[in-house]
Amino acid sequence: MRRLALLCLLVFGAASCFPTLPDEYLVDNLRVIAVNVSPATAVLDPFAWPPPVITVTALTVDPTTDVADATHDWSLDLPDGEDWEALQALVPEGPHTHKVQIDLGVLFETRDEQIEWLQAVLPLRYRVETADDHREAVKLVHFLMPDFPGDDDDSAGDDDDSADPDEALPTREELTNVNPSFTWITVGDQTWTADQLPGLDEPLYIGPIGEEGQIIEVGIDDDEQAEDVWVGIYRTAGCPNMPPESGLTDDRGFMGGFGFGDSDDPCGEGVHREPNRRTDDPDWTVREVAWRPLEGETSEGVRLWLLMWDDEGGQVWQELRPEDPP
Amino acid sequence: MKTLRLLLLLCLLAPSSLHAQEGPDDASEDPGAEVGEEEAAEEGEEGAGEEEASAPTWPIPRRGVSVTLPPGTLEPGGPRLEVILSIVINSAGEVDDVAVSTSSGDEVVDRAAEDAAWLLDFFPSMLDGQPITVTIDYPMVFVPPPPETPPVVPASLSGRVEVKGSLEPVGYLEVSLYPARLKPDEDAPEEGGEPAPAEDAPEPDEPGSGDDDDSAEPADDDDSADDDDSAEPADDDDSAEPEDVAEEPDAPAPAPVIVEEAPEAEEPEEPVEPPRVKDLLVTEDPLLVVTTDEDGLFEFEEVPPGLYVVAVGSGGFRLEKYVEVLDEGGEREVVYRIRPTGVPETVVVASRREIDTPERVLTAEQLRKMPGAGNDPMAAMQSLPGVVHTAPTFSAGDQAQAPVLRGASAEDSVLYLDGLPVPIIFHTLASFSITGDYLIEKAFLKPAASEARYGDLTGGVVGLDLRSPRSDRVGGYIDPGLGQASFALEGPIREKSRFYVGLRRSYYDILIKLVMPKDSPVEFATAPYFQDQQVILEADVAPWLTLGVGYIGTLDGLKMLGGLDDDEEEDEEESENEPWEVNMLTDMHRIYLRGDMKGPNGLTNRITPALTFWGTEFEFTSAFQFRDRHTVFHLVDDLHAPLTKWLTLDAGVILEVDRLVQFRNTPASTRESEGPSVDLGADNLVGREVDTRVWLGGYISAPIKPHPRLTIAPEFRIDWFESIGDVVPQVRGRIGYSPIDEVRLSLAGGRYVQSPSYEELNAISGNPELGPEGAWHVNLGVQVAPGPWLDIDVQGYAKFLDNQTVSSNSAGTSFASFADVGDFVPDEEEDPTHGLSNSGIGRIWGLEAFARFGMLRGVGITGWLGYSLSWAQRKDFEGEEWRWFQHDRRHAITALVQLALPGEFSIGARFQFQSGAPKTPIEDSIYYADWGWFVPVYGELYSARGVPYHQLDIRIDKKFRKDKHTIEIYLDIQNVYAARSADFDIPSYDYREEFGFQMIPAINFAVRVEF
Repeated sequence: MRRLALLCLLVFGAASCFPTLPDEYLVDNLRVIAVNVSPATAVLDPFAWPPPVITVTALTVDPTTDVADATHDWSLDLPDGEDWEALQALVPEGPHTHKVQIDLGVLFETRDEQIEWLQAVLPLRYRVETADDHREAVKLVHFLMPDFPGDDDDSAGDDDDSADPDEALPTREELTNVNPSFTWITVGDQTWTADQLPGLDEPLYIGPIGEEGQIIEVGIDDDEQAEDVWVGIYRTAGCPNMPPESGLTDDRGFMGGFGFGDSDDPCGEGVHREPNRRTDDPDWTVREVAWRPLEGETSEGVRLWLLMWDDEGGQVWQELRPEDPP
Repeated sequence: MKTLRLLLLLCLLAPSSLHAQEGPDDASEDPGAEVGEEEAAEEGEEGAGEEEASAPTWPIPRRGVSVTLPPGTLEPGGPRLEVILSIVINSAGEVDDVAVSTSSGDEVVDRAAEDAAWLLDFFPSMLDGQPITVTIDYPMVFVPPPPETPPVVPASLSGRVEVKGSLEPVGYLEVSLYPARLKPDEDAPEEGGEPAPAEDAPEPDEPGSGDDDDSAEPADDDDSADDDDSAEPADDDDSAEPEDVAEEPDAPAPAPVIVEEAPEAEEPEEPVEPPRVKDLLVTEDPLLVVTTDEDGLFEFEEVPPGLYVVAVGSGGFRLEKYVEVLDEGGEREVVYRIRPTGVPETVVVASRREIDTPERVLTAEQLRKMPGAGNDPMAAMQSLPGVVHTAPTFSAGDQAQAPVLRGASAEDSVLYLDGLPVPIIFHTLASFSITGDYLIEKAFLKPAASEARYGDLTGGVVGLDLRSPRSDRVGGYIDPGLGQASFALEGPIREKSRFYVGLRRSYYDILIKLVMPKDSPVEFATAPYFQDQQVILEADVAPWLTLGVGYIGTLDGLKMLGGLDDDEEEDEEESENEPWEVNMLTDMHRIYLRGDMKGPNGLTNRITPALTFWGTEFEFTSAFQFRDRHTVFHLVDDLHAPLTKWLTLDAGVILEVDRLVQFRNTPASTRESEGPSVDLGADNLVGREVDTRVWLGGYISAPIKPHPRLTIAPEFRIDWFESIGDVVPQVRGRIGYSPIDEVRLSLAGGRYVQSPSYEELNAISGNPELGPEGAWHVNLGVQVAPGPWLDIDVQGYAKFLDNQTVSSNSAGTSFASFADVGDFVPDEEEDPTHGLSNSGIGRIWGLEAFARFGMLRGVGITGWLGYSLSWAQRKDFEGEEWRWFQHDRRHAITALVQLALPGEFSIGARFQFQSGAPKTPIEDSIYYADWGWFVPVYGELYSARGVPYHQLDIRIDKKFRKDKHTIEIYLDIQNVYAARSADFDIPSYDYREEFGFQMIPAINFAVRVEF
């Protein structure tokens, strides 16, 4: 029966009132929204030793508590066993913050010859705990390591037998992922270029936004195809859409307009556009999201996070404050 | 009468002519002296006086004489015969000579007249004061006896009483015949005026309550618009159906008012209005009362001709009165169609079971009237005790559609359709039974401890039995339905053969296509639809043999495409979204032959060979696909042989040969959902398999009655499952004892074995090395039936399961450690069992109470109250703790009440409550940042409980009866108060909260015309 759960849901959905589910993009409690790994793929290049130190930053937010006071803990999410104990040493001892640095170089010695790059991941577990709540997240730290001939390590060389000797090996660049990045952000008549953006740890003050809402345009760049990059806006309050009076077209489509339980959603009447690319942008390099305060409220004190991620795990964000700079 | 005595009228008549002997010779020739015989008789004395001076006087007879004629000489009622005699009367008044002057034409009469004349004695004729001899012409008239008054020839009235609309015979019903006469004119109501006062029109004895007075007089019946004119026997002048006019009581009866009228009707072209019942006076007591036989036939014999009122109906039928005019010697045949009151005369809620195993049976009528079931038999069965509520199943095959009985898995039970195992019994897209309700004779549920006839199961049996096509006339129904339409036609082919044809088809697909926006990103290549069809032919080829051939088919389909851009649907390569597809198809086509043989002393044998083609397909993009195609041959034979008064033999065999082709592209499957699992991209199991699986089973049962109140039935069954290479004997038995008539104690149980399903045995995702699964059942029952109005059935039971197929694939899997993911799905080469083994055991125990009641309180009240208390535990692997079955629900209550109101209007309500099913709690969740997923962290398997299931359903229906068809309208509302669904919970994005569907009431409205 489980195999047909989807169909059941479809049928049930048609014959019932679909419950109003919490909005994942509305941050109303402790959350780990994203985890940035920089560089997105680390390369253990024996000819460029030492390898870069990996910085892992969690976007941890709590609208009610300063997460700086929370307990942060980073560890590798590995099975128990002696074989894995050495890897645990990659994560520095605590206490931790929302950010941790991992030096992969300590695990490897330099070697003179290179045959093949192997993709590897380290599952990094992050736990944040406040007095009232906790959250856990797992982030895969990607890195490339050289596969040396004659290496009997099962974890690295057992795929060799199946490799076609005539097939061109993927290059290091092909195997390397790069985090997506904002090339610019435009709010109303004001634009911030990449070098003007504060980055992961600082907010960008974009000025107050009234009930008429605001379209926020974003220029994106990534080593992946732009279609595989997604942009979303997390918020502590307000609505991620424009008011009905804006005159914009609702592009939610069939399912979005089929009455799946928006009756209790205070933002349900707004104009929601999906996907959030601009229709005059065939390259998908410009995206737009919207935000407005709820009726009768202001944008003062609201926090927005413009999040961008690709299919390879690359993630980046920019916090926006819809108020004047302090 | 040996002789015919005639009184000669001559004593009253005078001679017609007279001749004096001594007078002038020509006197006899004087025409003027002769007087016509009539005139002479009337005027003789007067004439004699006129001729007193010159003519002799007339001789006067002194006395009359009589004569005896031989029998048959004169025709009674025939013409009078007259003989004119010439008599010579002497002066002494004596007859001297007699001669026939004018013959009557009959020598016997003439001779008799002569003989009589010699006996005459006269006062002599006088002339001038002296007696003289004269010769006179003397007429003698022979008056034949009056025609014999024929005896009054009685009339007869015979006919058939049947139910209006459905035309079913009404047996064992009183029909009363009341002599009647027209009311005096002054009392008769004016045309169109008010009916006569009751005291002026004493009605026949009314067996029912007085509130039927109006309905008893169809002519005055105006209580509802549905009562068509044909319900008014005296008013119906519909002559469109001549045979009806002659037969039906509704047709104008011969008008009694013209009986005494001359046949030369002055206005023959105008039919004479028959009198109405209210225009008649009837006797207080009926002249005759008869009772219809089983076929609704009755006859009044030797009824004096006349005007009558016939009263028909009592108890469950409205009293109807018909005016009948019975002519002398007439043999009138009628058909009376009467309407049920809607309120039953008696309420019978259950009958004593014939077997001593737990069983619940619902008749076709009970199935139809079940609130919340929408006229569907399988839906109606869901509310019986022992049936556990589960989420709707959209699957088919391998008993996936069987209900969960007494806590175990659905796959443990078997489905039977008309005596044969069936893979599909309801539509996968609509949960409607594939035969509808019209063809159903009864549905039965055996939650456990079934008889030896049933094999390849460790649970229970759910079955639908079909009825034979009707043989009395052609009939059927049409149901436009809401979202679906259906019809059936059945009837006799020849005297001893009959047919049935039925079809149902949904039209949701048409509606969906009408409302679907053109620019919708979702497209139905095949909009969801379902249909089923049935064809049955039956013939009584010999008194001991009935042969049948049938076809039962069903087809469900759905194909949905999504992810298509508005402008790029034609070119998926250029679509910016990945297209997806949901494809679903289920079909079954069964052809069967059937031979029912009857022998002496109750010996019966039924043999059924059948061929079934069925399959099911499901496809959700490339991530999930399976296709099963089966060709199954069945041969089933059941023998019932009462050998002696105390010993009966039941035996039979079943052969099932299943040729199947399977394709799988699915994750590893589990037998019962063993808790939550999360698939982080594990590879599907892919493959195709062709196989033939044979199941051969046989059973024998020998119920012994050493005492009328005691039945002991030892049973034995043996099954050979070719696919697993096992021969499994099973011993079963049942004992029943009635210490008093109202109580039956029973004990049943034994060994039950089933083969793992084909899904579990396939080499692609299952384990071909699995062995048979077994169970021991024991059931102790008490049935108390103090009267037909109450039946209480309490069953205590226990089941012990062994060798249950279990899976290690998902049980206990946790994603707390990402590194464990790699071990989630075992490598097929390393583990050909795919994690499936026979290591599971289970234990299930509990009790069920089922009370059915009925009463009459002005309306008919019937209902039932069911309660089930159950514990169902399992242990999949050695060393594990007992845990609950997925469908272990501790308490289940069903309450049902139906009110049958006058006018065939009924209201019913059903309430169900079942405590929450086990669920595995979600204790935490982990956010996998790379994909933006939260992965739940589960607690102990099935260590928590879901929300209870409860639902209220109501049903209102009304039947309208026309002359030869009925119209039934019903409104069935499920889940009246929009209870929260207990079947599917939707977690929040981070699994911290769960939300249930708020099910909206489902309204089922239908109009069915049966004819």
